[in-house]
Amino acid sequence: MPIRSIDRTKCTDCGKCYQVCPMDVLQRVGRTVFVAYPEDCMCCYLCEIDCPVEGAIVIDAERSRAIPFPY
Amino acid sequence: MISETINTDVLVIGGGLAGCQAAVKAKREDNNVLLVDKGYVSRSGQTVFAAGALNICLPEDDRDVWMREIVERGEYLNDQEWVKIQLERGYPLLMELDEWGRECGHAILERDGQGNLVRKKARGNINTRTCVINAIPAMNTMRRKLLERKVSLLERVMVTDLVLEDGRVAGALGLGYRDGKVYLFRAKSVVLAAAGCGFKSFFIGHRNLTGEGQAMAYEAGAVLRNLDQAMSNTTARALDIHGLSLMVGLGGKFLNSHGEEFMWNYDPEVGSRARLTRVTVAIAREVAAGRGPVYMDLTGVSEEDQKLLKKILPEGFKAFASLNIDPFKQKVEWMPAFEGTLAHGGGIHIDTACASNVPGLYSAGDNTCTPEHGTWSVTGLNLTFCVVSGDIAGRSAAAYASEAPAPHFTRKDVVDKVARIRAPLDAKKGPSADEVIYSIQEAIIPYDVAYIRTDESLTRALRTIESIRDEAVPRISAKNPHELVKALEARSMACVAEMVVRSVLFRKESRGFVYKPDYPLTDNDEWLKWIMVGRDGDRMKVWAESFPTPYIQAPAGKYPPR
Repeated sequence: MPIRSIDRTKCTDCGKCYQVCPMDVLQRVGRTVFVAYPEDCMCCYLCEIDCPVEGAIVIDAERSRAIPFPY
Repeated sequence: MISETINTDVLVIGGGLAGCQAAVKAKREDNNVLLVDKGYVSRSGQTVFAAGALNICLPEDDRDVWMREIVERGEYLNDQEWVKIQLERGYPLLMELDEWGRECGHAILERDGQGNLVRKKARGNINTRTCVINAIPAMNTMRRKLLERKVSLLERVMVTDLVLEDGRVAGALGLGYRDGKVYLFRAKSVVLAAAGCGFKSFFIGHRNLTGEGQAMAYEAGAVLRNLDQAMSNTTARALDIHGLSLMVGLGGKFLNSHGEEFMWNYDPEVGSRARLTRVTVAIAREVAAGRGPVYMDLTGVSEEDQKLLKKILPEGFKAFASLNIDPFKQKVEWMPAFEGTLAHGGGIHIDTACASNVPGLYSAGDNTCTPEHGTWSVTGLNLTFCVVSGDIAGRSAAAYASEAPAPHFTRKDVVDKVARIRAPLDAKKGPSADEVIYSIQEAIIPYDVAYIRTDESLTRALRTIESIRDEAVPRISAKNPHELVKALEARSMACVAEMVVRSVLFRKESRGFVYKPDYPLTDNDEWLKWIMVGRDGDRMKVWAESFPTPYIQAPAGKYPPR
């Protein structure tokens, strides 16, 4: 999995992750951000880097979808 | 079906370092400049993921020595006038950027305790040196500068098409990423700074860069160049990582399965610090010879340099940590990562004013043919080129706009283009964009198409891409704006893939990223030429052009690739 989850107990609903995600992975209903398209996450970590709360966004770096290897 | 029409003097498409610089430099008291980006400016494009390498020729450096090294290592395909411009203009413009950073408390260029620029020998450098740039603070600074200069920003809008009028560029069309709104822009001049096409392949942070800027330029009649040098970087096999240049500069080594640092066999002068052209082909050749897999070994990097790597590449080291890999304690399996026309690898053919052959259309940064590089020269040229070409393109486009008539086309004139943008929403039974994108990747990423190439493998790839272009792309189905964006990305990717494969097929020698066992030598008698692509009616035309070499002459004859 790439972006796994947003920890609701830590999230402050600031919307920064929604603002910066280059892949439109995150969507917002009212003030609440949710992971709408995890398969398009490119594990770039910008959401986590800009998140004001340590540990609110959980990412691991496995590729989100298969890409054909060169060999 | 057009939701909003916006008039401006200068339209800048793309908000990475080159686009931001172009917009800042185009803005005057008496004009309007609009910058449109697919994402959020300062967190979109390649620069924010740049791995820190920046080539600055300081006043005390010998420019002639730097020129020779850049041209020799670019295998003589560089536009030498551009190399000269970059060596002269890079320093003052990067000092200006660094000063803008200081004004808002950001340290953009890495300096030592005495305040001197940190300079390293990174990938490919022999006499040239590489400075270190902190990418996120640099982009935060550019966003602030855009707002301070009163450049208008429109974000989360993907520009898909240029609009021509009386033989010159007069505007563009765009699609709202989240709301599906169609925007019509009327502009007196346009700067394309939307990067190249990375084909959503491996490598960190590049998957929203899918070649719209190059495909729409082709559609509008612009000539493109150097697409035969579509490039690859390298990455870990298990995850996307960048920063190779700094890694090998600080002591990282490529090892094969026998534990040999095999790059000394391919580049006796710099070994693992060889240019990407060498490294990517060498990895593929080691694997083909049964000496794979190949590894990156960072276990010899000093503690001080480990700290520098972690500081400059925060995303990459978070990624390693998430998979429980400590690259300073264990070697990591590595492979070539096809990047297409990103970072380098060809694009719009520009002159030294950043003008294309289409009146009113300018280009900067990686959207261009990256004329300073040649095949792929020393590391760090790209970001400097963004700052230098952004400056020139912005000022050229503003000057052109000040004389150009206001566009007068109406919504009625773009009905067909708008219908084409929205078509996937009405296509109920077609393939998904994801399926089509995967089939494009399957055609161009395999090693016999991307690295060890033959006419047969390239022709096979071309036939596949033509079939995707004609049969799959027009039928893609999208259910919402998110999928519609991907459908249009697939359209751009198919166009750029065709340009790349046709260009590689055209060059009948080995030079730079073009390695062909059937044509193993670099041939300066026949092929010291740029490969060009343009539109001839509905047909894609490819040809070769000789070019001036005013400062450095290539040796005559044929020789193994250097």
